[in-house]
Amino acid sequence: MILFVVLSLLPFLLRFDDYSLYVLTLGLLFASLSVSWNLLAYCGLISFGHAAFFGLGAYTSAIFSMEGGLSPWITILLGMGWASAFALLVGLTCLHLKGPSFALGTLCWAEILKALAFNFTSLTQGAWGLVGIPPLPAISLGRLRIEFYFSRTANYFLFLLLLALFYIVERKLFTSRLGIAMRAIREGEERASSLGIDAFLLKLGTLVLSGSSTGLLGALYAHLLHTIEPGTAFSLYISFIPLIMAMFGGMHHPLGPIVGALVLYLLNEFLFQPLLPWAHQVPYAIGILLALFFLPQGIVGQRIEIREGRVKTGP
Amino acid sequence: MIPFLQAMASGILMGTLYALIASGFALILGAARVFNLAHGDLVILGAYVGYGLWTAHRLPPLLASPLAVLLLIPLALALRPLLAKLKGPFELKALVLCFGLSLFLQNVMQALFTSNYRLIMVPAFEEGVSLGPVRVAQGRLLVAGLAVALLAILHILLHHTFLGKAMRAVTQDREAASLMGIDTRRVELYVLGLGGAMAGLAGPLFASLHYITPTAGLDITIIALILTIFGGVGKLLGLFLGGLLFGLAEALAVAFWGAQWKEFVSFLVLLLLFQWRAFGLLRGRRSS
Repeated sequence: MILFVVLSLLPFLLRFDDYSLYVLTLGLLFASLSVSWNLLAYCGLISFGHAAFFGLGAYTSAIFSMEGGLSPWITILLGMGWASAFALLVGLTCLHLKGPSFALGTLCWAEILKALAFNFTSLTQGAWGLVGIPPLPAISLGRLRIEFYFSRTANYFLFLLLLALFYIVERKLFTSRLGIAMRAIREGEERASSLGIDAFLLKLGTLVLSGSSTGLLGALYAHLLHTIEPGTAFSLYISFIPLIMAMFGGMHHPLGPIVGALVLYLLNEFLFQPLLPWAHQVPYAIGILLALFFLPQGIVGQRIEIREGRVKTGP
Repeated sequence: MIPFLQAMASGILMGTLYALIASGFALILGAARVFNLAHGDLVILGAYVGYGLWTAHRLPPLLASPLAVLLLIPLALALRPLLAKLKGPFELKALVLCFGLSLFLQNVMQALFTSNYRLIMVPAFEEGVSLGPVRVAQGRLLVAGLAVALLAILHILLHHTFLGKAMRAVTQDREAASLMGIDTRRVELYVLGLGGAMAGLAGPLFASLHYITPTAGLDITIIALILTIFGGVGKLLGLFLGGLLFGLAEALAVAFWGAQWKEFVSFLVLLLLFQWRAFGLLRGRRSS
């Protein structure tokens, strides 16, 4: 809660500096991406292929708004729809795979879509990418007109709102009966099934939810940047970044992915990028190793354990 | 017709090198239960060693390979203490660990070697040799011969020495192997070293046939994975056959549709293999 208050006050503290707001907006985007990814991880499924949903959402929305002339507010929903349909396909082809094989199966899908985006030049312009994607149209609320094209602040608050929404859904889900069932699947699928949980259906549902929210983010990303290309929209980066951020923050706590994403992304953008430009992905690699060896519960999980006295300090 | 035969021949020759690369990956997967996603990056690192030695000292790739091995064995062995510290579901955590290491290696290589495309261009490798109706590059033939020889040595090692038998035993059933008095941790260490050595040997050879970039490792890892799932862990013959078939399929795909479909084909093949042989990896370990 405090985190969200701070985040909503941040633009005022930064005096609406365009560059910082832009970076922060992308930080919020990655935080939402990590939340979406983490839904799946909550049932014990590690995906290496969320770029598939992200890129599909981005390309669908971009193509429909450019070629079809539809309002981006509608096309982002179309992007979301395509991404969830695709999640269904990924689920039907990959959910029978266990652990590492599932991760690699999702990776395959992401790379297949990337290759298609590169090669179907008539639709996607191939490696040139799509340029000149229309921005989100302004919304008028009474006398207030929210202009997404010019105002970084408007974009910032749009993504903050979205993140808050994702967080609420995630928290509700984790504390509901479904969340308990998801945990049960994570800890032991066979036992969970024997208790009457339809593991396949639950996993499929989670995958579709996770995929559709990722598709929505991809679509928004396309309209935020006005340009996408296969190499970025379907990049491996989009797939592994939520994994690292969620692991670093803590996969078993709803706040974990958000904290992990903001910490890592901001560290990277404001500290490593200016100081060590060649090492722009090294913080993520280090983050993943740190998370594996020193923070098995992530930073949020670790803090909770210390607070509740579950961690012994000292020998 | 002849161009297709030509493409097929060079694809098959390339396939032997793929099998060599996959052998290290499969060994590590089998005995140490690790999906070494950094395997391709190790191969690429070895390839850069070969490239550096060639541009600086005109050292041919065949001689650079042993030197690359010297660098890669310690790197692969360094995985062992890291793996030992993992908590939670081992196979998944190990996968994530290797993913992180792969990312790290790619970045370091990008910083050290820039992202330009590199190729070890040995003039003698480019000359053609007639093989029946087709002509293939001399280098390709040489590399393929070497790959087959190395695989044969590996086969002898695995089937006729105590260490090799221990490796296979651990692959088949870890618990039973340790009950028979095999030190499974030591075997794992040897396997990691051997896998690293295979990657090192293959690296410079790969760079003499194929362009490399710091991020090319993933495609190599995927090929290794495909062959491993196809052939099964600990089955060199299966790997070899898989390598030939995959090299052939890749060459045909490139010949028909163009090189830009190469990645598409390999990922599609992997996805299809997952549909048919989801448990191929676990065969042999199911008994426990």
